[in-house]
Amino acid sequence: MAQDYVAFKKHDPKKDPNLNPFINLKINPDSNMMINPAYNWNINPLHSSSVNPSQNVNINPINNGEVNPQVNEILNPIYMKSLLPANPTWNGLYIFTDSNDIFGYVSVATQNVMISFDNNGTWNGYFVKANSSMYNYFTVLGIWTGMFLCYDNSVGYNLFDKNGKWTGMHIK
Amino acid sequence: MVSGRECILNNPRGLTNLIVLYTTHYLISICPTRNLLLKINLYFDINTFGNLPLITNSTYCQPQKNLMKKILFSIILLFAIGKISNAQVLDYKHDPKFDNNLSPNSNATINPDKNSNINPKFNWNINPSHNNDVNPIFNSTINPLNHYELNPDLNKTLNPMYHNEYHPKNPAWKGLYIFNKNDEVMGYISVATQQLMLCFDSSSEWTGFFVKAGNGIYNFFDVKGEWTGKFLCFDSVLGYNFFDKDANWTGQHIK
Repeated sequence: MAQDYVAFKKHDPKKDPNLNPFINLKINPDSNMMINPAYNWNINPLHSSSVNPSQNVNINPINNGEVNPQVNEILNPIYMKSLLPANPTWNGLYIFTDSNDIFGYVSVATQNVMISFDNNGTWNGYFVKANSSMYNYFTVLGIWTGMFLCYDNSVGYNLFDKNGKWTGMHIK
Repeated sequence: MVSGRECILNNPRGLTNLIVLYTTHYLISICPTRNLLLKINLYFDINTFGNLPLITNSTYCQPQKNLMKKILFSIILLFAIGKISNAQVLDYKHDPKFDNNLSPNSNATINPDKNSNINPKFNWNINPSHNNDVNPIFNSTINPLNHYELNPDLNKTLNPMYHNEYHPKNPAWKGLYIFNKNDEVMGYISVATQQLMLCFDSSSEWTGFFVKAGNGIYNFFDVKGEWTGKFLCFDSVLGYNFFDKDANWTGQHIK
């Protein structure tokens, strides 16, 4: 269990209220419009073509192999075992639900790509950096899901659905 | 002891808008045998959905025991309720319910039904239906579809969804307020440039923008830059009145 590791304590929103968006309203998109893509279109792929992979080929792994784990093996956790959360030396981020329970894991592969895993440690997709404060979420095969992450301006990221609505999930 | 804000509250019109949410008492020790008891009411302003604590009474009394718990509870409650209030708490300098000079119901000079100079039905200089100079269909220089610098849909530097300092949900926001005929807040306005003002509804959703057409008149466009036919006219003193496409006053005014 990841919760058993000492390293996890630094990421745990149940232990540190600063990491909990339902206590620290500065990192809660429903309270801070600057980090909410519904009110800040600079971080909304539906309104900014520069951060939309359908309109900007540079941030689309189908067109840019450098950010595609299927093309670039150093991003692929099947080849790079150090990216797997099951690896004893793994160090990464945690995806939390709106109840602050662990939903999955994130491995930072490069500055532009983060690999996503479910609660069982199974690879289920990856995030590609679109600008300084957001990442788009792709399936393992490189299809954009429409979902995206926005930086919370402080300690982590919040996950939004394809309509730009916060899912309640957050990454620390 | 009565605060300055309470004097304003004593206006019977103002009192109708405030509901007492919570009353508490604070004891200030002046000397071992004499304390000052302050009665503090937490009011809820039904117009702005904001709240404000006000000292409403004070008396001298003997020292009491076990008051610290009560004071601590009161402080926590005041802060907790304060947290849920809107970011756009109405500045009383803009509030026609606090200042009768700002209300067209009280101040006939700024009421278009009583002052023909500011009514486009009687003053065709400020009526787009009668004056082509202020009509964006006839005067392309005031039509945002033809002008990048007047169109937030084309010009991101003027768009509140990209430049959040213009957005009323921004905690640092300053701007004007749209009131209905009962002087209740029904929207917000951000002054982006001398020619352009951005309009938001009471939920802070961006609904459109105003483009200056001449002295004392702004035409209202939707977010895509289509003219709605509606327009603002200066009230000749301190704000604007909002007219529909038939030049009838909607009762709405901006302060």
